Formats: sequence, C-alpha cells, structure tokens
Amino acid sequence: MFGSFCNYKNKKNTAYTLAEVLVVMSVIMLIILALPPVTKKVFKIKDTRKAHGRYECYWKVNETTGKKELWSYTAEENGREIETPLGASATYCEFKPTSNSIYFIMHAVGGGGAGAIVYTREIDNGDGTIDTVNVSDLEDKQPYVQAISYLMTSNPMPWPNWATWVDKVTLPKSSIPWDGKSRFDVGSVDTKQILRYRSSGSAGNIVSTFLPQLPGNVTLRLYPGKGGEISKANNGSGGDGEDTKIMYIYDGEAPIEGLVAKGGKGGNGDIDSRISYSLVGGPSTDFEISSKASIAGKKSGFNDVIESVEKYDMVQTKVPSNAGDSGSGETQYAKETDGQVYYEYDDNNGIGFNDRRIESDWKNITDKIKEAFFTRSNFSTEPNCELKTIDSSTPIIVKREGFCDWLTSDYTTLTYTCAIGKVPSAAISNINSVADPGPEADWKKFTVVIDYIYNAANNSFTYTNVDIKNAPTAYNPTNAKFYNCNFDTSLMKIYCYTQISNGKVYKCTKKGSSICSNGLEPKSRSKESTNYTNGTNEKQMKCPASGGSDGAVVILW
Amino acid sequence: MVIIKMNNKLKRGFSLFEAFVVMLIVAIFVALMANTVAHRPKEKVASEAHGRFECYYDSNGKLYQQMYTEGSTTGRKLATKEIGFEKEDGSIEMKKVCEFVPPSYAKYLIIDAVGGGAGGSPKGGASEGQFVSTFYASIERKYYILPGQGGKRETGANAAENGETTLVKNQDNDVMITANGGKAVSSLENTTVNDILDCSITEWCTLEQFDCQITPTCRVVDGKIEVSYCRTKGTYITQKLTYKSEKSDGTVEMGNPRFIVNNVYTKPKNANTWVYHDISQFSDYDDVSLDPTATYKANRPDWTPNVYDIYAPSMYTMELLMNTTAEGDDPNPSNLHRIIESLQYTSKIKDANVGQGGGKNQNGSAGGVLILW
Repeated sequence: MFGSFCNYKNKKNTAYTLAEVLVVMSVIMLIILALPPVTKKVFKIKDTRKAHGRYECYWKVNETTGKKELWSYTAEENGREIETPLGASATYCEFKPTSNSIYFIMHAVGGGGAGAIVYTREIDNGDGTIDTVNVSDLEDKQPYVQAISYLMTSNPMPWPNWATWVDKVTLPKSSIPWDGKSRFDVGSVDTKQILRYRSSGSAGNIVSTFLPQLPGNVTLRLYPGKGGEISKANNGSGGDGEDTKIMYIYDGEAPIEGLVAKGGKGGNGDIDSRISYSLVGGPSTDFEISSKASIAGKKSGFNDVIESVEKYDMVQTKVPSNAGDSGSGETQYAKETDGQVYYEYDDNNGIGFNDRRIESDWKNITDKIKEAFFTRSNFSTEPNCELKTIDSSTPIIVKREGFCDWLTSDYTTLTYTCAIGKVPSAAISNINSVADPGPEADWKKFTVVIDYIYNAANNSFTYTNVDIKNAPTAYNPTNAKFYNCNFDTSLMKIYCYTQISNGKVYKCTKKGSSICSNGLEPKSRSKESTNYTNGTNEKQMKCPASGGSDGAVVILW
Repeated sequence: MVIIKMNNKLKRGFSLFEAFVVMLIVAIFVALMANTVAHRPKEKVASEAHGRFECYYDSNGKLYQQMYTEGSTTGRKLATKEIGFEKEDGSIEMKKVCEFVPPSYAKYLIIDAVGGGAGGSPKGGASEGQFVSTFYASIERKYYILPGQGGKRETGANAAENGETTLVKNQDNDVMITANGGKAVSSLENTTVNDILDCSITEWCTLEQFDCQITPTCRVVDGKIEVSYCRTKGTYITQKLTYKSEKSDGTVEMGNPRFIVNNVYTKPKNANTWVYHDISQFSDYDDVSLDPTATYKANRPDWTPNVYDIYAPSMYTMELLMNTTAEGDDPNPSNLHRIIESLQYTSKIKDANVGQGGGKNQNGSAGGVLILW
C-alpha cells in the first residue's frame, strides 16, 4: 500500500499493488516450504507389522524344585522377555499366534534315543544255534601289551639267528615296537586294551516349516518329546526318544496334529562291539575312541537351526544346547593299564591260536623262555625300565633237536652224520654231501660213531657207546653255540643245547590311564556281576551309557 | 496496472502481463508444493494377497493341480504338461507334471514337498515320505512338479515298495527340491544300503605287518559303506564297499569284489544284523609275499572263503545293524498332510493323504507339493 505509515489521514481506498501481493505470496511460500517435516510426519504410513519374536518350549530342570519341568520362553523385539516354568505336571506349552505377523517359522526336534548298555549277549555258534549269555563280564583286562623285542645288533649276537618270527594270521595281542629287526623303540611301548562297547542312540529328527500366516482363532499346543531312557530290556538296547508334536486347536474343536518330529532310536544292544584302545603312558592323546566308533551320542544340530541369537542379544535361545541329542553307549573302562615289554616263548605244541610265537627251522622246541628282555645297551637311561642281565651265570638254555643220516656201518659200529641248527635245504636232502660250515655258522654238522653188539638169536642190537665227534661241552657265543649234545639211539636223532648268556635286558613298563570317552565318570558295575568286588575290580569298571536329550519346539515370527 | 474506460467510467485492473507473472509464480509454487503435500496412501491391491498352489495325485492316480488366492481359485485341473526325466539307463521318459507360474506380485514362495509313502507289509506299516519345507525369496518364472508315487504293499513274492522321490524343477530343468520317498519294511535279505542304521568294526587284524596303529572305522557315506583300516603296517586306507546293488531285473549285482551280502562273505547274526568278514587279501593281493594267508591256503588247496570257518583270515569283522522294524500297523501320515489338515484346507489334496506310509498290508500314498506365498 502506497503512502507513509504515519500518514493515517491520507487513506486511499485502493487495491494492493502487484508488489505487495508478491511479497505476501513469497512469505506464504516460504512458510509452506518449511512445512515438509511436519506434513510428512502427518502422512507417514503407519507400520502395523508385529514386532519379531520367538516362542520356545523345552524341558529343563527347575533349580528350585530340582525336577525336570516344561518351560516356555517368549522374547519379542519390543523387549518383552519371559521365561516361565509350567509346573511339574505340564506336558505341553500353549502358543497363541500373534496377529499381523508376516510369517511363522516352526522348528521342532524329537527326543534323542538312549545309548545301549552291556546287558546280555547272543553268541552265534556258527552252526545255526545261538546261545544267550549274561554278559556281566566285560572284556578281560589286558594289563600289558605283548610287545616283543630283542637285540639283533648286539655283538656278539645274544640270540641264535636261526630264530625267526612267525606271525599267525589271527589276532595277536600287540604290535612290535621296533623298526625292522635292528632298532627297538621303547617309546613305542604301549598298551592296547580291547574294550567292549555298545552303540549310542540316534538323534531326534528335526522338522522345520514356514507359514505365511496362521488362522486367528487357532492356538498351538506344543509337546516336546522326552529323550529315551537307559534300559535293560531288549538286550540292553536304549529307549527310543519320544516324538515332538505341534497340535492345532481351533476354538471349541478337537486338536489336530500339525507337525511331528520323530524321536531318535535307542542304541542297539545286540551288537557286541569292540575297539582297540591305545594307552601310552601319561596324558594320552589316544582317547579318541568316541570319534572312531559309535559310542558317543549323536548331535541333533538343533541349535544350529533355530537362529540362537537374533538382532538383539536378549533374544538368545533358552533351549538346551543338547536338545534332541542321543545318549552315549556304555563302554568298558580300563584304568591304570600298564604297558610292559616282555617276551613270551612257547613250544610248538602249546601255542594258542592267538599267540605270537617264535620258531626256528628246527622242530620240537621244548624249552620255554620267559621274561627275557633284550634291548639296546643305552636304554638304561630310559624311565620306567628295569635292568635285567642275562650272563653266563643265568643263561637261558634251549634244547634243540637235529636230525641224522646214516653214513656207514660195519659189524661193530654205525656212523651217522647229524645236523642241528638252521640247516640248508641242500644238507637236509643229502647231508653227507654238504661240508660242515664251521662253528661260527648257524648250523653244525657232527659225526656220530655208535658201537653196537648184534644178537643173532633175537635179531636185536645193543648200543654200547655213542661218540659224538668234536662236540663242544660248553656254550661259546662266538665259537660253539650248540653244545652238550646227546644222541637218542631209539630215534636216531641228535639233541643239543644252545643258550643266551650275555644280553642286557630291560623290562620297560609305562603307566597308562584311561578316561571315559563319553565324558562321564566311570563307575562300578552293579552287583549283578558275580565278579563284583566292592567296586575295585577294574575289569568291571564301565563308562555308563547316557539317556537321550529331550526334544524342543521353537517358533519364530 | 492499466486504466480502462468502461461504461464511461474509468476502471483500474491488472494487466495481462501482471496476470501472467502471478500465474507463473503460482505455478512455481504449486510445483514446489507437489513434493510437500503427501499423497494419500494407495489401497493395497487385491493381487498382493496370500495364496497357495496344490499338486497331488487323486485316488485314481490322476495328477491334479489347483491354485488359490484369497477369495478365488483357478479350479482343479488335470495336469497336462509333460517334461522329460532321465532314467537310470540314460534314456528320457516323459512324465506329466504340475506346472506352476508364480503370481507376479508374490514376494516369496514357501514350497512344502513330501515324497511318496512306502507300501506296508504283513509285518506292519511303512514310513511316510520325507517332508521338506523351503523358503524362497527369489522366485523362478515357472516350476514343474512331479510328486513321487506311493509304494505298493507286499503281495506274495513281491516285496513292499519304497515310495518314490518327489521332485520340483524350475523352468531350466534344475532340480529345486528333492523329497525322498518313504522306506518299506524289509526283511534282512531285502534291505538296502539306506536301511543301515549303524555299522561297527568289532574285530580286526593287528598283525605287525597289518597294524599301522590306527583303529579301523566304518560309516555309511553316499550310498556306500566306507571302511578305513590298516592295510599294511604303514598304510591306512579307506575303501568304499557296495552293500548290495540290484540290476534292473531285481537280481543282485555280483560285480562287487567284496560282497557285503551273500552267502559267502556275510551271514546274518539275527533278524536285523549282518556280520561281514573282510577277506579282501584274497582278491586284492597279487604279491604272495604280502599275503599272510599263503601258507594257510597252501595247506588247504580246496579251501574257499567261508565265514563259518573261524580260522578264515580276516582283515576285520564288521557288523551292520539294519532297519527291519515296522512302524506299527497304522498308516503313517506325512507332515505335509498334517499341515494341510491343521490349516483346515477343504480342497481335494486333503483327501489324497499325500506322502502317507501304508499301514499293514496297505499301499503307500503318492507324494505331493504345497506352495504358499
């Protein structure tokens, strides 16, 4: 409006000028332009999506009552978090689906099967008949390993080299802690214990499903299955885990089975499994039988499925980490098993099927040598080794048998050629044609002259004298390994002695120990065992089987 | 401003130029306001509603498909599309499949599939088909669905059949989902590698020349029995053994160098356990010097491998626990059928009992697929 603001009298009744209108419009425009934050808030689309959350239903021990109860846990994005025990008698949780959720994910795992125990065992006789025995006894404790060693590099050789090792194609009780025949490694002295075990159960099944929505009038009833229990029924097979179920309940209607996660099977008690348990003295890294056999319980992997931690730390699962896992099988427990090196010697006639033995090309070894330990001379510094010495005062004497071939005869004497030791095959076929290899060799040839009288009346012979030519009378490790020979005129065979007399011998023992592979404490067998002796009979110690873990349900939205 | 003489009176008014200026400013103003004044939120279009697609065989063995959106349905239709499936011999067999074209507005798909249920036997019921539920945020243009057929029940000499696998493929013939068929109850002789519940090495050879100080183990991997054991003192090997393979005519394939199931190498321990003695050195070792059984064999020229000979040399003894247990006498419903029932669908897929394992002396039901969005 034109004119001075002070000139009130000079009023003109005229319209606004264009400039005035423009100024007003500019002001209004600036005001409106400043409005967007306000107007945007006003027109923002309301987000009606329900916050994310989870509902869990699981079995857990109530620390107040000490009893296992069913628990529920609710956690939502808005911070609401409730964990509630449902009471000792509750068998299910109830979940009312939230409205406006854009999806539901349900995860369920069945109860795990229990491990089997050693209870009874069926013995298949191989002829179509089966015996059932009460297997109270576990595998016999084998407190030592039949590790065998002797020094082949000693000088002079303490052992006649006609000795050769023979391994029967059976089940020997140990390996040989040596490298070839030249080195004995005391570090390899170990104990192998054959342990009997039973199989674990199988884990509960995991079932997951996605749903875009759930009806508004439905309530879910969740039944987490319990884990299987250890049982003596069915040859000690573990109990099966229970199925985990999700039931739908519509208003006023009967429950409908909506989802089932089957429970795991119990370990089978029929398989009489054995596993070799290596025990090297001291803290051992060999306690890995659980990973090498079906002993340890199986993991269900449920916790890997259920998104244990979501956006907020508060929404961490309460479901036990072992939900649906199966239980371990029972395992024999070997305690303080010692490893020893010893040498066992037996005759041909008494060798057991599973025994390792030494034999030579000679036949009918009759002497026995036991507890002879040969090792390197510098082993005296090895721990746990006890020195023994075999010298000329305490020799190990072996009687050996040779064979003889007739050479010549006349009216008063018979002459035989005899051989003893590792006789070459050429000599065996025609001993008279092979020269005597000499005293240092592995075998010895003798000439034996026998005086006799012939009685024509009854056509019989009377032997009056036996002369074994050049027969040594004493053992000499470098010159005469076969001595004190005798000739048996009834069998026409020669027998000599040989011996070990200068070996340095160590009996090495390494302490071993054992733990339960399934992480449980070993315990004594029940008193049903006839060999139970106040829990001190190690043979009866066992790592117990464990039951299966309970199932669970997790619902996410 | 201009002065116009109208009716002999002088009148003042805006000039045309002034009016243009005002209109221009107003136009600019309105243009700026456009981003300031919020639009009214659009109504959700009906096409974004949830929906489902069903694919199943009816009781007459006809393949049906049907799509539902909120408030409408395409109606039940017989599947007419055929695509090729490769058979074991490499040939192609054309089979009718359900054809599903996802709605363009679908933000995601949930595909629930179940394999065909197995057939029952006089021993009892068989297991249901495998249930697989998968969430897809990326949607293919097209899906082809072949529900697995249900297994037939045991009749006479014909053993009960396992259910067939349900397959879901995309438009490029890539397999998206595989849901295995259920397993029929087997006698020990009719078991397959899938029936192995547990394997255990119960005894083994620890002769020096065969003992590498590692405990033998066994497990089932990829349809084979994988055994690891000391082959020599310095060799720990892993070998895969064929449990039992059958030719297309049902006879047992005997090409396996070590037979897990036959009358020589394996014998039954009881109704659900095989005992297997590995005597592989007879076939594997040409070098007699490495064959610890040479002497044994030399002294017994007529000897052949026989598990009843307790002196038969064996590298290890393995026991296989087989699943021969019936799952009760009643039919075993599948989880997909449970979902259909619990969501109170009234469509015909409910009557198909998809994936149900047959009860005692009953056939199994064919598998099916339910797609949700």
